[in-house]
Amino acid sequence: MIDITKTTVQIPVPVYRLLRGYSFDPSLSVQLDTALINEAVFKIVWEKGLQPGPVGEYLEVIDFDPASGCFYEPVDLNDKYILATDGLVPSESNPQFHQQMVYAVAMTTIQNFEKALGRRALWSSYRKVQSDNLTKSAEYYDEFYQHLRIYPHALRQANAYYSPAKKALLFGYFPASANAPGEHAPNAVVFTCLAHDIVAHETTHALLDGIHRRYIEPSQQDTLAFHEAFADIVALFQHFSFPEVLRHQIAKTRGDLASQSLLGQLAQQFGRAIGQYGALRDAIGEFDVKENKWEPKQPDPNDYQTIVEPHARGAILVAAVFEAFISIYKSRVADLLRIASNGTGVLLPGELPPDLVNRLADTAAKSAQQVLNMCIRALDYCPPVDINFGDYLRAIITADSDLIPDDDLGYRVAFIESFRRRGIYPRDLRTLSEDSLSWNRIRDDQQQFIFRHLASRVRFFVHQLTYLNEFPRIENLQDLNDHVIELTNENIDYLKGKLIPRIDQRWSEIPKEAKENARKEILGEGSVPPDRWQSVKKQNICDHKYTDRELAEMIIWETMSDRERIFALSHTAQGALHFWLATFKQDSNSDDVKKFEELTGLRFWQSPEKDESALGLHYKNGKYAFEVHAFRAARRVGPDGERVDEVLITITQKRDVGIVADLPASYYATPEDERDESQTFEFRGGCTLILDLQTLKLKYVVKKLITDNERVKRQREYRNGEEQASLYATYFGRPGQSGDGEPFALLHQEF
Amino acid sequence: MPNNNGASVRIRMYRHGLGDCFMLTFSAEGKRDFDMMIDCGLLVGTKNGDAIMQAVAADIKQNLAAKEKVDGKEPIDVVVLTHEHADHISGFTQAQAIFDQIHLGEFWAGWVDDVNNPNYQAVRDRFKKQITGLKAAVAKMSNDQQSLKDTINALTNEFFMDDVLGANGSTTGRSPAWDYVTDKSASQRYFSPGDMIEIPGFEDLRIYVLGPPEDFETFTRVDPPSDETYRDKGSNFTLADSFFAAVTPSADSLTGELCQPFEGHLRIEIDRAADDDFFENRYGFAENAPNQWRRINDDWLSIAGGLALNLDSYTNNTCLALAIEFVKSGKVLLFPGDAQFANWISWQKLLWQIPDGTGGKRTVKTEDLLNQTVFYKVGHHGSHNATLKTHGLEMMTNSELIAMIPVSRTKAKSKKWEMPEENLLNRLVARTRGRVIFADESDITALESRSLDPDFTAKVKFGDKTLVRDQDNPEVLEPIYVEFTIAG
Repeated sequence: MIDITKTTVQIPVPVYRLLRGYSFDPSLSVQLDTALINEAVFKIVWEKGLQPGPVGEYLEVIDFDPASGCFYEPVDLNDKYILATDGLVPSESNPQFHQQMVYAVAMTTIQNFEKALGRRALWSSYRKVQSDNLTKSAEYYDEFYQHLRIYPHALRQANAYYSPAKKALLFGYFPASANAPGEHAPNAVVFTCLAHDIVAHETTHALLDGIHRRYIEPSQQDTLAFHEAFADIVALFQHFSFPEVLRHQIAKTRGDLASQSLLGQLAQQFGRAIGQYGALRDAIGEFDVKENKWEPKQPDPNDYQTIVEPHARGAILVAAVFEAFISIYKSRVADLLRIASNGTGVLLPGELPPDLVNRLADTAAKSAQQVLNMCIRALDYCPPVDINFGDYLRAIITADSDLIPDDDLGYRVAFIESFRRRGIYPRDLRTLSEDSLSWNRIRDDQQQFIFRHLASRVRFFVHQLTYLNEFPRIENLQDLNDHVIELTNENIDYLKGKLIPRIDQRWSEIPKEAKENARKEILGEGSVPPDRWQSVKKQNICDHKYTDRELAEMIIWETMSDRERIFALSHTAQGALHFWLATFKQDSNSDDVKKFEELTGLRFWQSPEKDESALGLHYKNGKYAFEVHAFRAARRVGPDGERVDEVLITITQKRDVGIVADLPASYYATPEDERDESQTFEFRGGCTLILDLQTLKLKYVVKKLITDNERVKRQREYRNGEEQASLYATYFGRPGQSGDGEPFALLHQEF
Repeated sequence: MPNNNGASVRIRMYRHGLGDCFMLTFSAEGKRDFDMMIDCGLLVGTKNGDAIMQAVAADIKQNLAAKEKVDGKEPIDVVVLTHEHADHISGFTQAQAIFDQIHLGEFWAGWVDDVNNPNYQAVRDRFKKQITGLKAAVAKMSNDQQSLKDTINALTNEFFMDDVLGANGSTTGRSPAWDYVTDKSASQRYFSPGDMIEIPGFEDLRIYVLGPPEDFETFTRVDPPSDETYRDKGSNFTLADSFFAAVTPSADSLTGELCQPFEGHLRIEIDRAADDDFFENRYGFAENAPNQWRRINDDWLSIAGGLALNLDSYTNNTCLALAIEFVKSGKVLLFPGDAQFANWISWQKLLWQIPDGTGGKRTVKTEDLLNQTVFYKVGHHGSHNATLKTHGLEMMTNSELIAMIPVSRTKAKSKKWEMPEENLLNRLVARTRGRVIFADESDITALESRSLDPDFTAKVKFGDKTLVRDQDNPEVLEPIYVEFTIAG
């Protein structure tokens, strides 16, 4: 007998975990013609420490159903029987399968984001106040949240939403008979958590919030619409990136996706049981009951000007991207169809050969994946605040041409064309070509030495982000101090606090054993563990003297997850950038300052004439307040192997501007803490700086001018306007403005 | 001035606050005046409300003094109650002592309010069920949801929630104000769409009944599609039985069980879950635990806000909507109550056969009536979904059109209600060429700047300054009503 417990064969950790799920939603499984395609197998990256829930690196599924007054047992995806069968069998009546389904779809969405952006996904942080008992001062810090929570049965209503306040996705369920009779048994329950598109949609809201946290502020009519539309685009194209979904339908319609608009019809299908969600897709086309035929909707160049309700407006954007996808698919399969038809382009009657079907489906799936990548990647090229659809088009074009200079397949042209057909283009553009749409590349004569200085320092953080195991020695940044920008000792201490906030609490939270393991990992066997992190006693390890505090920091760092380290490094980098920019030694009238302000659209240094154009900007010591809003490193590889190493820095500012009309200068003459805040709202401006780390040059600036008083006017009109309102809003306030912290709950609710 | 050929009408809108109270006085040469009251109510919770409504009732009584008394009292010939919302009927309880001294002639309401209608009980049961559910939902809400609670209470108080549930000892399940009018009026008449009412002695008047719609189910359509409103938002009404089953588990255990998403053996009750490490560590049950803010104990209750609104809209759709026509001139006065989309749109299929004056018959369509409308009582204080667009205001093409809005913008604003809705108001102003009379304007100034028609502004009259809005400032007196006279 061989003792199998003593085997020396090392089995590699699997790359993927396969999980079965619905590709649409359960209602299609009971229809004969769609039952076959309604099951998909999701390939999820194998998570090492996946626990029952599932609780993994990114997600925490907790199945509480408050309306029913109960919990459901968490599924253990590492159960050997579950592993052996690619997950639980899709079933409406098994809550553990529901948990598996939300996990599988949400993880797929996360993977798509990470692939397109070339970095790990983080959830939006929570701004908390930390009060210091010693100095009696209060300071803000951003708390890291590892998990997005998913509650698959949180609500008894036809609604599902992302809650930024709880960092959670809440899914509802409801009796089917209420709004979709025919396809369901009379007492059947519709679960929103079982619809692929809804789960993907809500997860996307959370991911987008993690990247651009100001986008949930409804500053004008495009912002909430953008959130909605973007979530829908991701859901839609993620859906189409599964070839098995498309194969059956392509065979059925003989590959002619465009004229039958089958994809569009598919896109709508899922929404039937869900009601509100389906409405968004109406932009693509509608089913003509009399003709019994699905008709694509003809775009109207006035749509973008005339449609204002968030869902309907978002639908314009979805339709635009969808049409771009159809053109891309068409041009990519043209050769296949010619080959299959002996060069005529006219297919012989009868069923298509299965090989051709497979090729067509694969091409459609691949095109969908590419469109999805383009749409997600564009997020890095968007302004940090107040986005409109025109900005997004420009971001798509810029992001794509940056990575793939040669548009030989005409992807970008397809996008420009379909956006143009709906009247979506930037306000300030005369022509619509790739050149004019792409954000202007910063010319050499516009480069400024400040960016060169920043870029060289930013490399420190990019290095650390690349080698996350290495403990970042923040004090090394002082070696880079020069006459232009510098960090003081105080600054360094502050930044260390950013790297590991609440160090005493953290230290006490780490179990002894974990500390011990971490110490051995970093310092080797011979070292002595620090008793208390505060002690300044020094140890000599490998010819380097470490204080106990340093050792404690290193041990804490060792116990952090990669994503938390990324979070900590980004926030430290933001802090460092803030110091560097704030100490940039210039006087307000120098050419350099003028140039800098012109380039970034920000206002840094106070002067009387600037005050005029930027009334309401907060200031301190002769300088205007600003926030380094985000720091992101991007390493992307294009299809031809081109590598792009970039750093994206967003800086924002805010002004207090009058709600009803411009306020007189006298209002601003009163000290800030004595002003009547009920008269003002916060108007934000800012920019995304894209720095090329290889050349140390500024590549693009995507900006929303803080001085743009036309924008103030538009935001004011929007706030006071009626476009976004409903009867619900009449009584309960508007989405995002009601102050209840649930901007999406209302938007998705059926009232 | 009364016209020699036909009747004329003086339309008096009381200026008591957010609520409707209209007195219509029809006069004709040589005839006794005919007084019709359409609604008499004020928003619940209005400061000084009882005293204000008593002043209104006293003014009404005083103005009837010249009429021949009936049973020794001043008579109102017809009382129309469009629907059972406090802001349309509360006056009868608030000023009951004064109404006791007024003779109420006929009482008019819609068929849904007719106890003898076969559908009556079904409508009431539906109300009762929803109100019970809402009440239970509000009771379950935590303090974090206070503002939602307040709004729902404000909405549901309009229904006299306790009376519907019988908690105040009401045996009819109706509000005391409603019961008061039905008991006290000399006769009751309930109307269905398509009916036509004639007033004895006033041959020049013909009253067309537009709503409430005949079809019970159409009440449930609340919001109009986008081409029918000055705003865009479509919606479906969901009864949300499963929600009500969850908030009132004992009400109907079978429904409760059917609404459960999973079989019983799959459920882990909360107290059992609290003993489980996974749920204890991940979800947590202790008060003030660090992760408490991520719990979802109450979020599911927020749907109650929408349900309360639906109930509100549902009642609005039970409104008795009337078009009063002067036969000779063809002029029409439109009083839709607070009718919303479903009610308005149902008028479109109505037809009336009336004598054409030459012995034959002609057909009148709702569109004809809207085309001839010269007076429009703006529905639901000007909210966005109580004035239809394509099949409503845009059909009111008569160049003489004027409008009255019974609204207090200060009150609406304090509640954060958009009354009147801006786009609708803009369109109203354009359609009427500025001839829009607001109940909350106490003199002609604003009207003069809005309307470029001096002949019109000259005809707008204000009542005696007897209205005390604020008891703390009793010396500030305002005109108690504003009126306009239309020659038939």
